[in-house]
Amino acid sequence: MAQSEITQADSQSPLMAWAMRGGIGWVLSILPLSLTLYFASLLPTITSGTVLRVSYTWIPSLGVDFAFIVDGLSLTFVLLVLGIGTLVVLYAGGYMAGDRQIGRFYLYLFLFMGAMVGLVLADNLITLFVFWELTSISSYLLIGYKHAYYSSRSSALQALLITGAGGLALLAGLVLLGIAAETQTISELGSRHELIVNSGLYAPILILVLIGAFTKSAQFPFQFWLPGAMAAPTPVSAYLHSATMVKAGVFLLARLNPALGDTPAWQITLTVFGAITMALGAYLAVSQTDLKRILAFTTVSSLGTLVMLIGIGGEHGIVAMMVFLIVHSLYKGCLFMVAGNIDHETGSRDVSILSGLRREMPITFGAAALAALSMAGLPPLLGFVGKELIYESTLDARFAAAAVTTVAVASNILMIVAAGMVAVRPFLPTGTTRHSTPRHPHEPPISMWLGPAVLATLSAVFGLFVVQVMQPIVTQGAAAILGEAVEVKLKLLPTSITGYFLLSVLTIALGIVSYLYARPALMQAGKATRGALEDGFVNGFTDLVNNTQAFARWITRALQSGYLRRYVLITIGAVVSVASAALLTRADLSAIRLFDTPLFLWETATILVILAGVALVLRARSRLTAIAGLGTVGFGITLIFFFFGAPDLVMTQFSVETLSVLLFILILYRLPIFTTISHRYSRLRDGIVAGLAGLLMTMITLLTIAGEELKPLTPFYAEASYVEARGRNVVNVILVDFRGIDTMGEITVLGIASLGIYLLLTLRLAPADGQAEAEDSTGKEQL
Amino acid sequence: MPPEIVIPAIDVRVIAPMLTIFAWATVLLMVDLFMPGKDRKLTGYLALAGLAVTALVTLAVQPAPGTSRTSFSNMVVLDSFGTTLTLILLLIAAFSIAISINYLSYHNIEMGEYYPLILFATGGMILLGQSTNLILVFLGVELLSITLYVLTAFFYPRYTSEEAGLKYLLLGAFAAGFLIYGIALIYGGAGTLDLFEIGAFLNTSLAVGSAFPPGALLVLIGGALVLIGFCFKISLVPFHMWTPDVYEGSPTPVAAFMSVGTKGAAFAALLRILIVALLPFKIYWLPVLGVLATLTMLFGNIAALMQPNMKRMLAYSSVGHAGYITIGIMTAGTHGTESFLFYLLAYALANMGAFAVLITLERRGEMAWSVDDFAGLWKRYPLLAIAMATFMLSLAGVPPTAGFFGKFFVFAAAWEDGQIFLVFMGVLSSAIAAFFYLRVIMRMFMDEPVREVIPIFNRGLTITIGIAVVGTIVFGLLPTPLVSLVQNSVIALGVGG
Amino acid sequence: METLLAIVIGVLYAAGLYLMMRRSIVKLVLGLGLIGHAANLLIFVTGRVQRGSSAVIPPDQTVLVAPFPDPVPQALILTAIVIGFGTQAFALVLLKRAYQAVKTDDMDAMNTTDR
Repeated sequence: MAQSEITQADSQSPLMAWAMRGGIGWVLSILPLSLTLYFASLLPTITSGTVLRVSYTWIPSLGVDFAFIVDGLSLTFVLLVLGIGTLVVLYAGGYMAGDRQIGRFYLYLFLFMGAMVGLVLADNLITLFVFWELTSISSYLLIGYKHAYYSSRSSALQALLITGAGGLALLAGLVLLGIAAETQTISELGSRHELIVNSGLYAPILILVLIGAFTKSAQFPFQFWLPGAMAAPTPVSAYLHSATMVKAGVFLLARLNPALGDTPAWQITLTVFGAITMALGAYLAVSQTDLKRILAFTTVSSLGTLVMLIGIGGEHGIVAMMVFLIVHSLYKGCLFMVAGNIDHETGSRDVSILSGLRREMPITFGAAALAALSMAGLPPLLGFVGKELIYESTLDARFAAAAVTTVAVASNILMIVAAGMVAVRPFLPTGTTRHSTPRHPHEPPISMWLGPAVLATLSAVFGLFVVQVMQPIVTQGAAAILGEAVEVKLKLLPTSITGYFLLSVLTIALGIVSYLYARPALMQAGKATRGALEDGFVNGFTDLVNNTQAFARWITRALQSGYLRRYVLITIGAVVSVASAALLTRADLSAIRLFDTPLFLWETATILVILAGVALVLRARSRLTAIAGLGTVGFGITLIFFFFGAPDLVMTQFSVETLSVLLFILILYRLPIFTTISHRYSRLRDGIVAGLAGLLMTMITLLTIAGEELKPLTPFYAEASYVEARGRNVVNVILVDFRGIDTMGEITVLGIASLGIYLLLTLRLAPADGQAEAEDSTGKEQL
Repeated sequence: MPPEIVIPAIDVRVIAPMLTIFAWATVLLMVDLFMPGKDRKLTGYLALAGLAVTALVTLAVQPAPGTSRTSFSNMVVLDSFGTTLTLILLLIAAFSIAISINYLSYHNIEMGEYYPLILFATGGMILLGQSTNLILVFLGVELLSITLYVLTAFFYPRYTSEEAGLKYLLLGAFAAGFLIYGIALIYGGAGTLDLFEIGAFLNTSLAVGSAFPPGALLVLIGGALVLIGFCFKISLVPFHMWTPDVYEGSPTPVAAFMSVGTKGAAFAALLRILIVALLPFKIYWLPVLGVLATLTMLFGNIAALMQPNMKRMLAYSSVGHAGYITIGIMTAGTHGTESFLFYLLAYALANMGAFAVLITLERRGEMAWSVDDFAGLWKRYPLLAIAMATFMLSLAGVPPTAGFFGKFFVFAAAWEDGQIFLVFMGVLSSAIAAFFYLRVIMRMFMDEPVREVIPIFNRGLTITIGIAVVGTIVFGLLPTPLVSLVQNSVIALGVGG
Repeated sequence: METLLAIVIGVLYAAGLYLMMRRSIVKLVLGLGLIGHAANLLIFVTGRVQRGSSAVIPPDQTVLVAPFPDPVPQALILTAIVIGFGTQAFALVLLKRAYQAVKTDDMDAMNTTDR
């Protein structure tokens, strides 16, 4: 279309060329940056404990408002979404430089950003859901942006199916929640905790909401879609699959914690599933060689940690969750961009061939190193604070504290190994010979290293000034999640030797040892179990999809044969079986009187003639005989009308019947005689079904006659016909006077039928340039 | 001394919309006859003008909210429900004509009679939505059916079109047999064909004693047969089987018209029958419709899952949607009626739009409407792909589209009515449905083009697609005005609350 | 008498439905005709079956005198006959066209459906 031509032409201009080289990222990042600054300016208000609300009426009849809330939780998320968003916008400008359709990419990116901001600010269940789905849609536009390979398509489809199904479950859960709580306003849910938990809907709400959250945040057993979604361009992975979208599930759980939390079901489910996800993600991460896959699995692990912390709950758990949320967003966003830089500059993401990039990419290396230290949880970075808090809360867990702590320690050890693989191995010389990479590496442009550098620096700054920077907002965030005010004291370094400090030391020591010596073993173990733990889920899911498809095909073919006779058979069969069941159980068959009005000879004769006509139609070999049979039936019925006082019907039926017979003969005369083409068996089957249907009809007719006595006469027409309309033939009066409208309808029907006949008979339009011939042949092929 | 002739008080305003459209169609037939040349586009534009005039007439005669007018011995009623429905039907007809104008000449089947036929069918639909007497219901069904038999078989020389016409006609006439038979039985039982009187009859006769009176039994059996007759028209499983075969063979605009218009009108008539006449039998028809709706939603969506043919996929999807609309009908006593109208409009916009997109890709002389043709559409025709994606999302019921609120209202009404199982099945089948709607989106946005297909655009298609997209999104973002409109329509029917 | 008519209705329905399950298109249309007859007869029976009298007001009366047959079903039958005729006529022409297209009377040849 014209659009691409314009792009092509304009790309020659200097401005466009600059934009294509990545300049556009600088310009566009102003938007999220200014929004970030705006929301940052709200920090003093929010940290003082104020909660801002704004609401617009949307669908009053359903109590659905566009309601938004700014509190500690939503502000934290908004700042992460917009702040990292600013850096990603900038980064994408460099990463995607030269891409002709970068404008489209940014459109999706901003769409997603808006949806995400709306989601975290929402204060109404339906508003939240609308934004939730918007994030899904826009994220798939982003994933689908680069899609050269079949594998990336199928994994994106997988992601879409899983989160799509989760979204539906979530909708159901939120609607139920609204019903149980009698409000759609999220900030009011906390005060109705008792009402919700005791409503009887709590179990379905919990299950449905958890399905929604677990699918979105890649929790076990839905964890497998996230690594698959890494087919997206790196800026998208950095943004959606680490810092923002996948945390929407975590956000939801945090947001609904006051409403749904504080029950054993909530605590146990979240803790168990979170812990499993945490361990599984970390375990699988260290057996990968692709940088992005390593990061993807560590993200899975971190998401598990966050869910587990919400499950553990209490002040310790929630504070740990808030801090770790920020920790993870900072270092993971940074590391993804680092991975993107390496990929972009060397053309490879394989850690087994990358090495010694430190010299060529010093700034990137510095950022990576800082982020990895935070990920490993070393002081004075923020990651250390996060890890301390995690151990503090697991040791404090209300159940299975020892088991949970053990799992957490093991996962963290593996995370240190993964951090080393991502940030140390590609940059430091490995001692072995250096593999050549597809491209000669060098430091990327400023737009691409600024993001990682800023995020890594923040990890350090936030760690060093944890009391000043982190404490106020974490306090308010925790208060929002817990639904009550809390007092939080964060500290970088412990003032005394505590149990969890010792665990931290142990973790770091074991982590470094494992990185140095146990990596091949871990890699081996991971590869050995990959079939079950990694591919197993993917294959299981694929099988599920395939089986569903096979089932769908089978059932469609079974019902949809294309044979009219079978459609009729199925219909009659269904009607007869249901109707006779109803009739036999409901009707009072004893009311049927078999012999009432005495028979007259000529009436009996007429009936015999009708039956003979039917037999003729059924048995006829030639068309003319069959038509004669049908005519006999018709005229016989005319006679019956005559015997029982319906002169108008006699006239109409007689003329219509005559016309029909003529028409039949005229049209069917030249067709060949009947041949018996159906199987004897199918004739028998059809005969039985049709016979049963006929029997049913007779029974119903007899019932009708039996009910005759009770039927009130309609005296209106009998009395009003002459008085009001001055017509003596009541039937005629009804048709043309009282109900002129249906006569008009009949005329229209006849008119349309004749119009149709005329059309069909005259429709002999010249085939358009020989198309008709071609079409006929394709038509046959379709058969 | 014969008495004075009493001029019957016929309030023509009640049937003014239908009269207008019939008159316009008849005159249009004449005009077309004397129109020179082979080009029949002018007839199409005149038909559109007729729809506009009918819409104005409809608005001019609309009764005050909460009131209604009757005429012809109470056989037809004009209330806000009827007015809203009529306007929706006119919109559907306008879409159908707009997407037909170039289609017909492109496929070399341009016939001036086509447009009056659409108008006649629309008139039949309007009548169906307004009738309160079973004779008129029968007449309305027949009016639109016969017209559609003609339109279905219209695609010369595509022989699948004749196949479609025959299948539709034979099964349709078969269904009409059920319908008239049921009407006769109801008359046999209640002694009246007036919906209100039937309702009154049932109320008194059921109130008398504990035993089930034979008259009421006949009405029950008759009602069941009428329901079966309608099941054919609205494609409820297992009476849906003609649907995919007929849609595939028909000219695409006709399939579009059938998928929305016939359904809307037939559902509206069924709603009146169930609520006005057969409400005392709710304990019987509620479970029956529940089973039918469940089967329909499940089968329609499952069968659509693997459809490589877009036209058939839309056919099965329309079967599935009939299931959701049925839920709205079932709960008409609470909020179902408004959910029905909302759903109908949302569905009409999305489905008409989807069929219009299909038409842009339909080649002369081709039989297949493969999903493959949509592959990579995004790369080549981004606006078209976005439009199609909007329709698919709306049909799937994903926010922020009108389809989402349609489903939401239907399920909410069902929930309020205590139909928890139905809501569950509805959500489950929506999950299945999401799969194939999203599959189309995936193919458009993520695949490479399989073969080169150049869409054909023309004014009618562009405007239709444009209106459908805007409507789908606007009603998805701001459903409130529409909600208040349909709410008024319900109060007038006398069943809202 | 009514009992006998009820049996006739049943036979007509059975024969009509049987024909509608045949493969020959002509038989389908014939079946349709039989079902139409059956329906008309049925409606007729639901009105009062009265010998001799008709729903015509005698010249010396202003209202119908009992016993008279119910006029409403008769009006309904008239509608049904007319519409049935229209449908049947169109079906016949369509049948002819279909025959020209597939050169056979076998409905199974018209089987475009899911593969």
